[in-house]
Amino acid sequence: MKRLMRIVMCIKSVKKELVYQEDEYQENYVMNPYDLYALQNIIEAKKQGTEMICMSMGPEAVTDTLRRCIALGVDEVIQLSDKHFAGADTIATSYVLKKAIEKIGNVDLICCGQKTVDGETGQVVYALSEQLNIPCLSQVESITDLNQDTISIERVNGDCSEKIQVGLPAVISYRNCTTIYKKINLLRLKRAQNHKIVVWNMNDLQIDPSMCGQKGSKTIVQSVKKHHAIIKKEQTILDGDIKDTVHVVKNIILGKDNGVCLYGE
Amino acid sequence: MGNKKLWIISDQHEAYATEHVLQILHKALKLKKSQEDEVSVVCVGLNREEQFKTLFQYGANRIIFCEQKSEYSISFFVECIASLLKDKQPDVILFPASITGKQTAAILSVRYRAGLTACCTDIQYDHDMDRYVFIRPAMSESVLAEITCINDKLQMCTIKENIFDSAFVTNEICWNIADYTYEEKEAMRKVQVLERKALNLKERVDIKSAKIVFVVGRGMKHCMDLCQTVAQKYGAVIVGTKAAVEEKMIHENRQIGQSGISISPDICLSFGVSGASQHVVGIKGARLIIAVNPDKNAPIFEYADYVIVDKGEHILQELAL
Repeated sequence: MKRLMRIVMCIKSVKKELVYQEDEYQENYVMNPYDLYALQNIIEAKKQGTEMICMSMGPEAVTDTLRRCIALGVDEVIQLSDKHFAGADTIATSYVLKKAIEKIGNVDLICCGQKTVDGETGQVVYALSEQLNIPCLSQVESITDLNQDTISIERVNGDCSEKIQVGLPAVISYRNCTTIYKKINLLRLKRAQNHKIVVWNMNDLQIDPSMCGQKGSKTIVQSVKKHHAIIKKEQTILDGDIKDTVHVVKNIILGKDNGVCLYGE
Repeated sequence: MGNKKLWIISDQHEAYATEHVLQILHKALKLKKSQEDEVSVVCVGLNREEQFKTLFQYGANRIIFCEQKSEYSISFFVECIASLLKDKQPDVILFPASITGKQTAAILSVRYRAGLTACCTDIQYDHDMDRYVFIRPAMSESVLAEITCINDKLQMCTIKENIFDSAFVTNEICWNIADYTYEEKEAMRKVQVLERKALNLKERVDIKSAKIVFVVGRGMKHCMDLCQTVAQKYGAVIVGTKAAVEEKMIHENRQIGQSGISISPDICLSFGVSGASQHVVGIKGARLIIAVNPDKNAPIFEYADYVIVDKGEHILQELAL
């Protein structure tokens, strides 16, 4: 008898304020929106009888997020947690994920979100494929076929649309993100509270301390400065008669306003 | 100390001298500490003399060219660059942050244990410490992180499009092309491309180079026709927020913001956009922002040059006249 297909989804918890503006969630940490999109889509794309495992490297705060995965219909959740994992860059992170995937064993497909909204590197998916020495298909728009041996996807790459097929095992990542849980059932969420989360630390994964966390990283963050990406400007409020207002706008568009470049010359 | 070798990897198979690559090239030239430092552009693919010429005109000191006549394959590209790095040991490698660029950078960073910084908005050379400092925004662009590499050789970063300016340097060019040979092995093509086709023009409207854009938010759902008429009249390109995509008002490739693209038009008119930070980062490059929203407390107004508290529809109706 052929064994079940096994999919591992890598997720991350991020600070709530990076995702939700309002206080609609009680938790301080929520699932990274890119991971949520990927998870919900892979759950829809997988065949009946596929085993789904979610794992996340992170401290205590990730447990709530992992419980939500159970409520969404995931079979098993694993937390990779150890003080030695802190301060990891994408090299050290992908190494820990690789060790966990090897420990799980018989994994056919690994799925990730495009990037996280806190680190925003978008590198882990590729780094993980190199760690595991398997191919990688990133920025997936949709999965057109998924079976035990191959996966076919569609995506946009620069100015081209691509239809690509690759043999499994492979790593994929979806392009898009969402903050909306499509169908999270409160009863299941309640039941998920009792689900035992498997926790693996450095020793469980047989990881050498020099290979993970800040020690295993090749980049170091020297400083972090507050940054206002967008400069708040001096505003001109146009609150007169609508005709006058639109006249000003027209002039700007048609380049009759000083300080704006000219058009149609 | 010593002389540094700076490399830029072109992510194209043929049109090497893209605007994106020229922008990175210009930045790399500014990182030269002295004339002895060398900036090279690495090209893998077809032999295109006019492309090489452009790269030299924009200041490349050297081109490293690996001819590859068969169809582009990402796995071959990665292995070819991997072999080059091993042979020639550059100090700093700058990649375009495209799928090809990011994938190559991240894979090689793991393989050679080379520090990699994603999507830099600036790179500086720190004379006191004799090291490069890679600067990038994180946390929804609320912070700027300064990152350095622990390893010495092979420090890498990726750079998004339109972060730096490109600049023409000279017509008096000196050809300096180093040919490199790398044989493709059968096993390399793990990924099968079933179909690759250029997006048609309609899907590919060059929003990045648009001079005037109309940004629509969810509030404009019922008057997209009017919006299109007016946009056409003034030669504006319509883009929108994530909400507008979800409402099927605009195509997904016209989404501006964190999960879409960033644009830097001369004039940006936003209609019914509230201005969530995830969206606003996508229009921060606009020279002038005119925001129209019926809610006088809409966050977008803080970033606008001109504020109009009104329904987008009313303004569009007037503009149509």
